Formats: sequence, C-alpha cells, structure tokens
Amino acid sequence: MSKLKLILKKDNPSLIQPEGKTAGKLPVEAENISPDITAEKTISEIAELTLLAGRKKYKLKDFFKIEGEPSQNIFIDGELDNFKYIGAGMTTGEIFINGSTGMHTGSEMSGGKIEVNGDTGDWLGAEMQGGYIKVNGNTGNYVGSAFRGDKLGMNRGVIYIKGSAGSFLGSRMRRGEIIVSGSCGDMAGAQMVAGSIYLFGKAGKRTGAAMKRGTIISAHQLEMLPTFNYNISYYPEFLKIAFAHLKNEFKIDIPQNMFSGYYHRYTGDNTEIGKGEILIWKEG
Amino acid sequence: MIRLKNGIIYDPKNNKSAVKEDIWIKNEKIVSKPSAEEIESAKNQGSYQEIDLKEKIVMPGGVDIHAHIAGPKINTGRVLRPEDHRHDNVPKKGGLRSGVGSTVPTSYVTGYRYSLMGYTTVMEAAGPPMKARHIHEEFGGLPFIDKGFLVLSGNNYFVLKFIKEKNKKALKDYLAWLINVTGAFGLKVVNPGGVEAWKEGKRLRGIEEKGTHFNLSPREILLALAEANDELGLPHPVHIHTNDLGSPGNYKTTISTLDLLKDYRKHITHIQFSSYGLNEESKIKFVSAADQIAEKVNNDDKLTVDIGQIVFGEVTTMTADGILEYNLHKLTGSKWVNTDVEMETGSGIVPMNYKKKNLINGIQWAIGLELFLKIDDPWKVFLTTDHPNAGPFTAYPWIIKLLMSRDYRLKMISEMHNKLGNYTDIAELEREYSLDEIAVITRSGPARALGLANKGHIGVGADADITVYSRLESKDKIAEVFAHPEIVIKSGKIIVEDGKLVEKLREGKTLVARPDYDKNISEIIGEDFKNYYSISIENYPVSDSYFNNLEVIPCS
Repeated sequence: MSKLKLILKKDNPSLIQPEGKTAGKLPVEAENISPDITAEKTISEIAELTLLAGRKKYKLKDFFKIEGEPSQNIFIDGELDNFKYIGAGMTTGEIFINGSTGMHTGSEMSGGKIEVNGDTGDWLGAEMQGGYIKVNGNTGNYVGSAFRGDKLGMNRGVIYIKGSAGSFLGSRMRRGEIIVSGSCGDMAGAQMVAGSIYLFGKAGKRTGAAMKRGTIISAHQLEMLPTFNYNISYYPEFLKIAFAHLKNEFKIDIPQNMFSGYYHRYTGDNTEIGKGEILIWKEG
Repeated sequence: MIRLKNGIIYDPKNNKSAVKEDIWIKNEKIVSKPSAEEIESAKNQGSYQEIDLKEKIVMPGGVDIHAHIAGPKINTGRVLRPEDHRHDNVPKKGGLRSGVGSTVPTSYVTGYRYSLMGYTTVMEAAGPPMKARHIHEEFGGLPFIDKGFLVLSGNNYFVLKFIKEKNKKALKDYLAWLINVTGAFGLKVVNPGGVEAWKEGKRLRGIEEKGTHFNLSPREILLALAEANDELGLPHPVHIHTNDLGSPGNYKTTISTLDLLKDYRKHITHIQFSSYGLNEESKIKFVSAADQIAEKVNNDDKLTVDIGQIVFGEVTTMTADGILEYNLHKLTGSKWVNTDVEMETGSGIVPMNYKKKNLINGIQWAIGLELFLKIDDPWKVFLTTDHPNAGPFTAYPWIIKLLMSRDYRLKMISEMHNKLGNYTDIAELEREYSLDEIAVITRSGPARALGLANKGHIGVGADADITVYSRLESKDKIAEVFAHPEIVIKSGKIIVEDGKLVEKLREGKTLVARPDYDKNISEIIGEDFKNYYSISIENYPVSDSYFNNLEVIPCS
C-alpha cells in the first residue's frame, strides 16, 4: 500500500533557539496533516500546505522531509509534542505517529485510525464522531470529552490507551468506548451522558461524578461518591460479549482475571438522573 | 458627491414602487439634483462619483427595531457560550478587526454582518440603566451602523415608587432624567411588575395581580408608563415585552394589555412569544392564537408590533425577564445565568436549540409567520428575530424568502412535524409579500415607528443610507439576494462594494433622545439613591466622553 512519510527535521521553525540553543518550542497548528487533505493533493502541493507556528505561517516542507507518495496512509516520525490538531476532523485513512503528539490529536474526527507510538497531549479525540485512536504511551486530560461549553463529547468511536490517562477522561461523552490499560486521573466519566469506559488500572477520585447514563468498568476498588447506590454483586453476562468485541475487533488486551470473579454494581449519580452504572471487579 | 443612476427604487414612504430614478448624495444626505455648475465643480475637485446600477433593486438601508447587540447581557452571553464561537472565526482583514460570529457575535462582527446584509440602523432593545456606560463603550466598537438603546424602566424602584405615590410629575421627570443621563433613545418595559415580583420570590400572572412591596398591578405600571411616554413626546412609543411571555394561553394577557393601552401609542415587541393559546384537551396544550392577536392589531391604529420569528437552530435567549429564563432553564436543563441589577431590573440567559421536527417549536415558527401573513397592514408589523433569542439576525433573508414564496413555506412545512397542521393553518395561507411590502417591514416601517424621520426612505433630506440588491431573477434566489447586497452606502460613504466590506472601519452614529425635565428631580431621588445604590448619583450619568458621534432625535 502506498504511504506518505513525513519525517520531522531536526531544525524546524517551531524551535525557539536563542544563541543556537533550543530553549523551547512554539505550538504548531497542524490540522492540515490529515488523510482527507493529503490524499487529494500532489507531493508538491502537500509540501506547500500551511502550518501555523506561533503567529506565523509556514509550509509543511519547512518542518518535514517528505517521502513516499500522496496517500490516505500517513506515517510521521518525530517528537511532535508541540503539534496540535493532527488528524483533527479526519473522516477516513490512517495516521501512524512514531513519537509523541500534542493537544487535540484526532479531535472531531469521524472515521479512520490514528495510532500514536508515544504520548499525547490533552483533548485526545475530543468530540470525535467515529473512528479508532490507539495510544501506546500516556495521554493528557480530557480524552474524548466535550470542548469548553459544549454539551456532548465523544459520540461513537473507540479510544484505546495502553499507558495512563489524565483527569476528566471521557467527560460528557455521549457514545463510544474508552479503554485505559494504565491508571487514570480524577473525575473519569464526569458528566458522561452515555457510552462505556473500561479502567483496567487504578482510577483517581470522583469517578463518574454527575454521570447521567453510561457504564464505567473498573478492575480496582474505587473511592465511591456518596451519591451512588450499591445494588448487587454479580457477573454481568454482557461483559463477556463486550470484552470479546474489544479483543477480536481492536486487539485490546483484557486482564484475564476479569472474565471471572464478580462485580459490585453501583448506580448514580443521584444528583443527576441516576441511570449510570459503575461496575467494580472483585476476586471471587 | 455620488450619483446613483438606473436603479429600480423601492421607497414605500415616498410612494415609489419600482421607479427608475437618479439618486444624488452629498455630505451624508440625499439631495435633489444639483445644478450643472455644482456638478462641474465637484468633478473638478475629483469628488464626483457616478455609479450605474443597471436596473438593480434599490432600497433604503435596513432598520432593525429590536435586537440585542451590546451591553452586559450580550457580553455575559458571549462568555457563557465558548462553543458558540468555536467554528465561526472572522480573521483580521485590512483595516477590519478580527472577531467571532454565530448567535452572539463580537461587537465588530455584529457591525460587519449587519452591514453585509444591508442594514444600517439597529436598536439595542434592552439596557439596564446602571450599565449604560458599558453599552456606550460597546457601541464605540460596533462599526458602520447607527445604533441606540432602549432603557429598561418597567421594574425600576423609582418608577414603581412614583406610580405608587401617584406622583405623575416626578415620574415624568425621572424617566426624562433617566433617558438623558443614560444616553438612551426610548423606554423599554419588560414584564412590568413581574420581574420585581420574581426578585421578591413571588410570581404574578396576568396584568391584574398584586402582592409585591409596592403592591402595584402590571396594569397600573403599564398605564403610567404609556402615559408618561406620550406626554414626554419621545420619538418612539413605549416598547413593551408583555407579561406572561412564553406561557401557553398568554394571548389573553396580550389582548388585555392592548385593551388597556388603546388610547396610547405602543409597540409590542416579539409578539410571536405573546400569541400562544391554551387547549386543555390537546395533548400538548399548546395552540396558535395568531388569529385573535392579528385581529386586534388590525383594529388598533396606535399599535405597531415586531414578530420575533423563530429560526430553527442554535439560539441564545437573553432577556430582562428573569423569571422567564428561570423557566427556560428548568425546561431545557441548559446552563444559565440570572442577574439582579440592584434597584432597576433583572435579567437572564439560557442557550436553546429550536428543532425543526419538534412540534412545539414548529407551532412557534408557524405563529410568527401566521402573524406576518394575517396582519393586513405591513406598516404595523416588522421583521425581527429578537436576535439572538428566536434566531440570529443573519437569518432575516431566509424569513424574507418564507414571506415572499408560498412554495418555500410549503417545502419547509413538509420537512416539519407531520401533526403541525392540527395546530395551525399556516399551510393554507396564500398571501405572498411583494418587494414593496418587504421594504416596509424591514426599513420604512421600523424607521417610522422609531420616529426616525431621516431613515427608512430615499427622499430628499434623508440620510444617505442605501442598499442595492441584485435583480430578483427567480423566487429561489430571494434569500441569496437579500443576504448579499451588492452595494451598501452608509452616511454617503460606500461600505459594501461587490458584496464585500470596504476594508476600512467607519463609525456609525449613536441615536439618543433628550426630553426636557425639571432639574429638581435629582434632589428628589437623591436620598434613596444615597441609601440604596452602590454608586453615587454624581457618578451615575454617562459622561460626554462616551459619545463620539451623537445624533439627537427631537421629541415632539
């Protein structure tokens, strides 16, 4: 399959280099790095795509060595932790980033796949409408959540984080699945409207605060808010189907012990409509 | 000096309908044809410009009688809704400053978008007196258009006090003083008595109930204010947002308000929200009462109304009617703001989304259009969306299309809730507005109701505010034609050329009224002011430095 390769130059305009030493990096707005845009263009047009570094306009070729041919399949190599909006709004295709990315990676995307072989910044997959994001490292805050002021966050799609996640994971999410293998910060699933969150590592405080509907599954004991009711301890059969779907379709590692034992079921948050559920695994 | 030739003029005030005539502009005004020597000398000085309009449509600049475009309320709305702006960015271009748009645009973008739509005069509909300074500061950043504001007075402590004391002279003096010190254009009355009750934790229904501190019914407040407004001879009649606005069955309150004020000039604003019927037998208990209201409007010569037409999509409701916003918040669960403006008024903001498929929203939409089509005299009914309450002002061209094309109406209805026909007869109405009538409801009518003798027409002596639309080739093109006028001239200067803004900021005028009053009034209110206000009476008036470009509209 044809591939477009972008290799970050060691010396690029986003580096702040007084007296030859790198003192910091300017944020780069890179929403033009998206399969929808690159697939339609020739290599020379791709080289001319605009990227904003700070308040100045640059071209893609100022930052990257471009190899391969125009394609929906983009491979990027380099530490892009100051690059924002990579793959934002993409509808199809694939991006593989061998390195870290910055904020808003895959935000508002509606299809296709992003894989990050490193860490990502905040707002990963925020308000995404579909597609699949896999992160092999850690992520920042607000994964799959709603942007400031909006009512609904992620709506369809899957986000798989192999490392740990920050706070407000999936806040206000509406549909879709978020799976975190490592630990996650406070307020996971805060104000979530629906959807599923799988926490295989430890979670911080106030998980599911003000959730309306939706399911949070945790492999470890959580510090429950007083506005949740304990219902029952049982093994929910649907989990077997859900786990099989994650395992077969997305190659996600599920801890083996979660297929047995039982789960404490809590419902809440009763400050809202109280239709959300939190399932906490227990050995048994 | 500008000569506009070969334009097809629609100027209802001067009885010109599709008349081909030259228009001459000199020093911000429209003038009669200058003498040959004058033209010659202008040509020699290089100040002569001739534009061939090639039989395009020429109308006076648009006049919006009711929109929320500046002040603390709109500013809080901007802060409340970051999501409203995120996808609508306007970059800096030449001399034009940047901003963001959507339902609550920044002040600059408000000015740009009104100008790009051919509107040149806009009345900010509700300003709390204490925050007048903020409004004038924002007016300073609102380019191109002429603007003024109506000062809230229906729940003001001093107004209620003087009405209770039956002190008509003090009431008149106070209102005149208020208009003078705040730099306002007229009086706005929002849910008289009702907001005061809400601030006391009570609720009034209709216009007869009492029970607040001053124990006044809305009836007494409305009568006193309408009388004072007429006696002061303000250019604009009292501008009323009725009691019970937005509740089913409120058309009875509206009708009793109209009966009460039958001897006075009055303007009922966003009357669509005040024309709701109640049917206990129907499942949704909500029906159109446009027939009853339209009949009332048709038979009242001292009345004008604007509609507040619903536009489907995102809106930001904002009004001084605090209790209404509380109800909306409870209804929608949306985020909200509610404010108590000390002694003067309340206010609230709630974002909403009117959905095409929702039956209630559909009936609200139909009520607005029914009123447009059932009120016979276009001089009594004006086009507004109560921006940004029922829709953004940028939707006006699509409303014009709804009014001018029955086919488009039927197409819209076919996409809406299939039971709509049980609650409204909008589909049966055959009337279609003509271009003359559109010119009345968007410019000449509002200008007359506001008392702006120099606006809303292209006669000699009028302000040179002119909009040139491209020819109306077919009915499908109505919205595009009205959304993108080719040329807009404001105060004799071209601000839109080839459908694009000229890249140079120009400041419009601020319109104010200056009624006379007895200077003694500041001593009469001084004691209460000292005791209860958070600022001193000396600091209360908006100082002259806030007014850069002022036009005083005379009182009669």
